[in-house]
Amino acid sequence: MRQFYYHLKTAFENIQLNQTMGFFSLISLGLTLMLFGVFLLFYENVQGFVQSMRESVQFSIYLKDGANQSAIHKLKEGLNDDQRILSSTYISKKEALKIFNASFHDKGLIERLGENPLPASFEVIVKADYQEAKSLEEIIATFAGFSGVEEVQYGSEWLENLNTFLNLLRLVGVGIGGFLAVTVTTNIANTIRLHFYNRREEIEIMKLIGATHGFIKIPFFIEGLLMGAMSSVIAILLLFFLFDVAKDYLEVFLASMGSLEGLQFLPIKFLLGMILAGSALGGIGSYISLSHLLRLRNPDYVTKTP
Amino acid sequence: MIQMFHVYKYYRKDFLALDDVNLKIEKGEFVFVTGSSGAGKSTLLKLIFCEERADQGQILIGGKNVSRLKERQIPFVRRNIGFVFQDFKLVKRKTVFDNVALPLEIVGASRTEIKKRVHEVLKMVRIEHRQSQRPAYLSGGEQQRVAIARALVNRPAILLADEPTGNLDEDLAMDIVGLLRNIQTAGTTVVVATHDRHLFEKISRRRLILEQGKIISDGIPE
Repeated sequence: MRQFYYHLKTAFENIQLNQTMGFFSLISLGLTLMLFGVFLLFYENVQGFVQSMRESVQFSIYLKDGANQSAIHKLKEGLNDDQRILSSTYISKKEALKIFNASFHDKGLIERLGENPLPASFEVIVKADYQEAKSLEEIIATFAGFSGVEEVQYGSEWLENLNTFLNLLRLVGVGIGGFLAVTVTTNIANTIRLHFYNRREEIEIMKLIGATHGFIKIPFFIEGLLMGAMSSVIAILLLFFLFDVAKDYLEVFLASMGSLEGLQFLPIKFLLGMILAGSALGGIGSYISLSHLLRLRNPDYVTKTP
Repeated sequence: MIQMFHVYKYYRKDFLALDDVNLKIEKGEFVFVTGSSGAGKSTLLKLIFCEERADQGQILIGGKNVSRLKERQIPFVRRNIGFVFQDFKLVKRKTVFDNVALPLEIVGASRTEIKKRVHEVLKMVRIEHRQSQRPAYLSGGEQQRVAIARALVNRPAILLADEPTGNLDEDLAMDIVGLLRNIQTAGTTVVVATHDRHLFEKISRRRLILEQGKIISDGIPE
């Protein structure tokens, strides 16, 4: 505990000692991490939008014209009892005609046919957790087998496209995340390396009076962790500022595109995750830097310029 | 306390810094290592301190063979040896107190222990009144006292001093040697490398004379 206090104090001294360099490093790291934040914000909002679209995903169960009441009742009960179904609405032949007439200007079209050709149906909305293609197929197979059912229809292609888009977005996220993680780690490794060179005389003295490599490394490691965490906080603040400025404009734009969803900032668990990830990258960066530097024989790093 | 058996040290392949050195220094002894520049005085001290490694031969410190120690074991040997460097090697941005406290921070001593021991040694070397100053504001003699205090704060069994009076005038030099003798009286083995004639001519102590890496004389001058 005593030593931890010493290491923490030394880490803060390190940051203070290299204020100007540290400041620019933090800004550069903050901007890098903010880029990832922008992507996360985009992903999170798109996912929210997709989620709301999914909630309106439904399929229709068309009934045979001769389907009797007991078959309809059984089907209704089956839908009500199924845990995967969010809601279902029965639309009789009459109601179907009404809807048709309300949607089409040519009201005489059906009348000219002589009889109502529209089938009765159930409009079914599936719970969000079961909206991927495989589950939907299973649900549809279940209800296609009921007596009195003529056909089951759903917009599978649209849903597939939506899933493909989200998967692609995730993949892009991993790519961007990986690239930015390498950038942040390299940046922190380099900053720590420069700080190490700035203190090389002191480190040399420490080694001469009996400090182990671990003792020398710990404050730099803590410095890396702190730098990572601080850059994440800077990134979050910048992101919040950017979001606040852009939100109103974006919402007007999205409303004009037909979206009723408001934009959301990143949830707290994402923000904490960003801080933790920043610290972890800082730790990794300093670890890489220090393992290399302390392996060098003394004269090498005393005479070598960074 | 310190034993060397047929020790050789080369710098590059063609420069022999120590040539078949054999010696034994008892616990609590005070020894001068003298010789002209390049005779091997500093190398001898650096080998004891494990700052350099012998190319041949064995070195025993307190009965432990340090000539084949692994790199990671060296810090633990150094914690039992105080070293006073010719250029003091004080950390510029730290105060006198913090510089002297460093060896204790390294071993994880408690705050109370650090305060007590640092005050003790600062008082011993008579520099207590300058404890909040940084080294840059101290004279050469004062910096040397701080360096001695730092070397002693861990209560090492051995104190090595490389040209401890090199940058000081005669009065200050005698003052520092007086301090080193007091330390030896308290039971610490003291080895001082110096080419300062005044120093070892005024004080009758065992003297090792090195020439081109060889010990050419070992004894107490009359």
